[in-house]
Amino acid sequence: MLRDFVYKRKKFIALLIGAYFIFFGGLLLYVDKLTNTKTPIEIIIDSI
Amino acid sequence: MKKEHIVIWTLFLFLMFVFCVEMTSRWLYKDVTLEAGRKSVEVLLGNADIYNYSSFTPHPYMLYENTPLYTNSYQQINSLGYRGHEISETPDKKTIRILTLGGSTTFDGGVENPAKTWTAQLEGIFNHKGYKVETINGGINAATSAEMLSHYMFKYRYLSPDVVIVNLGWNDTAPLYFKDYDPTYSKFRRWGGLSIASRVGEKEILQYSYFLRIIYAWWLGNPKLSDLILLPAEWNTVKPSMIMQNVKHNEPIGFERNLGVLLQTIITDGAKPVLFIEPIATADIFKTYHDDWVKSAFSAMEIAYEKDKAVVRKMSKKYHVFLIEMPKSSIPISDFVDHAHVNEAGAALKANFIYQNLPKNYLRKKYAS
Repeated sequence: MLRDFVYKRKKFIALLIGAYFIFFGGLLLYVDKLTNTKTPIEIIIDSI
Repeated sequence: MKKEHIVIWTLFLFLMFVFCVEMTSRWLYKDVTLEAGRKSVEVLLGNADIYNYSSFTPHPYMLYENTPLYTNSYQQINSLGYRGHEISETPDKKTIRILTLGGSTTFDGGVENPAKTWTAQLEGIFNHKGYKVETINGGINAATSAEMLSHYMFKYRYLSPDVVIVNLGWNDTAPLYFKDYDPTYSKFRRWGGLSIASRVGEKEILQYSYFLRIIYAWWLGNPKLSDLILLPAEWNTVKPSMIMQNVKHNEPIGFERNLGVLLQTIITDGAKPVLFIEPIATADIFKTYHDDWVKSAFSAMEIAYEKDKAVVRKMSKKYHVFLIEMPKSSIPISDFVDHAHVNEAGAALKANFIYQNLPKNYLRKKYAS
C-alpha cells in the first residue's frame, strides 16, 4: 500500500526531499560565506 | 487504494517530514543562523533583555553608550563602559591620566586584543620610557562629535583626566552625505529604543519549533545600528553621486560647534586637550578590501574628511590646542583592515606617532610635586 502511495506521488516526495536539502544546505553555505567574509567592523556593527 | 488510506499515508508522510525537518533544525540551529538572529529569537522567547546582548545601550542624554561588561571578539568593555581593563573613576594622584576620545578608530575596532589598541599601546610606551601614565579608551563605535560632546559633559570629565586626546572628524563626515544637513545632526541621528515584542502564540510555538526559530532568526535578523541611532535609515543605500553632491554643498558647521564646545570645556576643566588627526587608507585599500558602496563613495568621503580636518586645524589655532597630524600615507595599506580602521601594527604606529609628538611638558605636572 505504501509502495503504491509513494509511487503515485513520487514527484511530490522528491520535491519535498529536494526542498529539505536545498533549504538546509543553502543556509549552511550562506552562513559560512557570511561569517567568513565579515570585517571586524561588521562584526562590531552586528553586535548591536 | 481507499480514500481513508490515502489520508492516513499522506498524514503519516507529512508528520515524518515535519519530524525530520524539526530534528535537522534542532541539530543545525546554530550553524544555519547568525548570532544576531538567534539573539532576537531569545528576546522574543523572553529569555533575554535585548540590551543584555547589545554592545550599545541607549542613553537618554548621551544617545547611546558602550554596554558595560559586553564582550565579543572585537569588543571588551569594562564595568564603567570603556574598552580595556578595569579602571578607577578617581585618578591616582601620581599618575598622569590620558583620556582618548573618538569613534571606532579610537575604540580600535580592527584590533582584537584590547591591550593592543593605540590607546593601550600609548600607555605601554610612556611607562616603558619611565613616565607614570594611565590611558583610558573613551572610543565609542560610530560616535560623532555630538556623542563625544555629550559623553564628555555627562561622564568622561568626571574621570579628571590630565590630558584629553581628541580624535574626531571621520564619523562627522557622515552627516555631510545627506541633503537637509542640520548642524544639530537632527536629520542624521534619532533616539530609538530597540524593541521586539511577541504576538499571541508566537512565544509558545517558538518554544517547541526550531524550524520556526530558524525562520524567525532570519526574518527578525539583526536590529541594525540604523534602527537605534541613524537616519536616514539605510545610509549605505544613498547613491554615491548624491553623496558627492551633498558633500560639496554641506559645510561641517555642526562639527565645528561641537568641537569648539568640547575643547573649551576640557580647558575649563583644567585638562590639556590635544587634537589628533589620523590618516585613512588610500583608494588602494579596495584591492584587498571589498565594499562596493564605500568604494564608489570613497572620493566623496575623502572630500568630506578634508573639510573636517580643516575644522580641526582651525579649532587648534582658535583655542591654542596642540595638534598632532599624522601624514596621509604614514600607515601602510597592509596595516588597514578596511578603509578607516587599522590592525595592531597600525595601532602601534599611531601610538608611537602620538608619543613622539605629544609635548612632554604636558606630563610634568605631577612629577614636579
